[in-house]
Amino acid sequence: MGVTAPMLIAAPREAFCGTYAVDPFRGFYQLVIEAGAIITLFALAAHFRGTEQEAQAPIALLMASVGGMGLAAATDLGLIVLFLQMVSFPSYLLVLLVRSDKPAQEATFKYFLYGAAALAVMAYGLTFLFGLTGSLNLRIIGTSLAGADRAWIALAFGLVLVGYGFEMTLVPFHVWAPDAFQGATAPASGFVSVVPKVAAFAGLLRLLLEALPHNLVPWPVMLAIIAAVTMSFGNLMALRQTSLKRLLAYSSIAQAGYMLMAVAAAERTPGAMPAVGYYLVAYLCMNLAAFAVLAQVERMFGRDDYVAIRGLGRCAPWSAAALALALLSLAGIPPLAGFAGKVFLLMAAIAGGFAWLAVVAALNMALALYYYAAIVAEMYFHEPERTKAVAARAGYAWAIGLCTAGTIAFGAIPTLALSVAQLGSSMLR
Amino acid sequence: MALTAFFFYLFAILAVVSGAMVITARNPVHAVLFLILTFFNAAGLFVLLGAEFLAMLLIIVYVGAVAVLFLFVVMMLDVDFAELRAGFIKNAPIGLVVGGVVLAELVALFAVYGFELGVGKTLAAAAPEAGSGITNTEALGRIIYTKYVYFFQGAGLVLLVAMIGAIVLTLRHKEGVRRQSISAQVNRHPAAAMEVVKVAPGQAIVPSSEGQG
Repeated sequence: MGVTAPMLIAAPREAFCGTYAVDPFRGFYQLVIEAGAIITLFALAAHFRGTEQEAQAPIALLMASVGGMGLAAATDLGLIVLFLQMVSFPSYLLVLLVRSDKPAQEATFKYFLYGAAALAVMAYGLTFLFGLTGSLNLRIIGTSLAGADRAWIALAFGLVLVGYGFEMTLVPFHVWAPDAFQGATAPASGFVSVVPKVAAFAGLLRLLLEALPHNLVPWPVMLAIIAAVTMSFGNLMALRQTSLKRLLAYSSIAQAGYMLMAVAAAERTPGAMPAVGYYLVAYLCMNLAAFAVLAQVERMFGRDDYVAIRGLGRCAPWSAAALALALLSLAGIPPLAGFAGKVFLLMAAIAGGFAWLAVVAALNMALALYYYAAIVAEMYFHEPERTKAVAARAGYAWAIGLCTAGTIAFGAIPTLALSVAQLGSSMLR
Repeated sequence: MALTAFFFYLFAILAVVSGAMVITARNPVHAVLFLILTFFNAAGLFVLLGAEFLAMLLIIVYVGAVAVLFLFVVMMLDVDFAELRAGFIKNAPIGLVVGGVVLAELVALFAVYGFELGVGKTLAAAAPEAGSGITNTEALGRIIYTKYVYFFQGAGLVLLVAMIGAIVLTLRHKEGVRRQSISAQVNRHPAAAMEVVKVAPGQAIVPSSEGQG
């Protein structure tokens, strides 16, 4: 992180013969990915300490993070394909770290099949872009697409969106997410729910803004419709879940929908890019905290349904408080980071001319409050089934502490992260 | 020129014949050996075309690694080939359709473009000049290690991840084998490992009830 941070203010330039952008945009997203990886590492190391997987988990984590960081900076179609694979392979591995675990096997199988298909479709779409322009470079594609046939560009964009949609769990490419999150161990689920998503948002933003001028493909409208469907579907499905990891999976689908809202407005208003960046930071803090607490709960009870957290406020007050904060932030209660993030996203959507989308999102946020509050109520207003101390390991404490501190600090002083995100919104064009 | 033509037809005929033998040979080990022969002949054709790098690649990668791997799989896995062959007639129509589509595509491609493909021209422009004294291998190396060095390293990392993943997921530890467990060693702490006994003067040490021996 120390190495990446100065790059936030460095002047945009190219590296490796124009295939790799060194600009504040990638500096910001790489910082976010690094933070996510380090926080996950605490929880993951605590979870697997003394087991067979102790050495393998951090290696997979490292590789996936390297892939994600590369994706944020890649300006070449070949590199994009390469780095998407590099994010995905170790993520499959992380899901299947406990090999003897039947649900994990099923989860990985689904994740792998969807991933392979989605990335293949995306690579096919990228070949259309190459075929239309004869160049692999995003900026050259952007300038030379102008004369090409609109229908082909739309087709290429649709195919490419499949790959990014898979990583970001957009409806209808989200099918793997609930199973994968439920089957994996909780810290690994947290990682898979955050880092590939951040990387894919960075990659999609770069692709849209550098290679696809808006007058060629109506991508703002397409993305707005997908965003509306994604957030509504995610929230409606989350209402009916009993497994908390599954619930968080659907909730993360809904969160991806909120963020996509600002991505759709990215070209129309300057406030959209910082809004996405800020929300990704907030999302990282809230989601990783929630999954770290779930990891503790899972260790303790071997299950992750409502019964497991019943009365958690009594037997593990600190963990329960952290989980409650994370969930309330995800629901958008002021003054937490999730609230400020949602305000920025809504403002970006309205400024971008998607007032209807902002209304849909606000309705969804109200709906989501129900299931987040239900968990909090379960923790505080019910007697515990059995009292047991949570697995107190320093790694969990660090992960939860860092995330909660982030949630509160970025919520109380939104400009703290927003100014950094603003720095990171200038891109090499 | 006549010599080149002679070798071309020699390699081409051998490649086609051994290719046919791959799918007709009764013994699967023989089929794989014929496959290797086909690769060798294809490599010979590449050399005649002046693509010596591709020829070496074909021999090293396909003959040295892939085909030998096939051989191992065929010999080590006890596949019942009579059973596999029984499904042949059933699946033959689908195979014929797929083969027919591919053939039609190839014919259509050559009917439209002939042998003067535009892509071929642009690719040829990137190849070294005939008289410049730069070989294919050298030219490839110059591009891979300058312009595409980042791709090269990235692809290497992806392959490394895939390899580590495959090993992690398929490694089975045999029960009953004594093995060093590094994480167990690192996580050992003094309280569990030793017992500090205060010995009063003139007293013997009585072993504790846990029986450390």
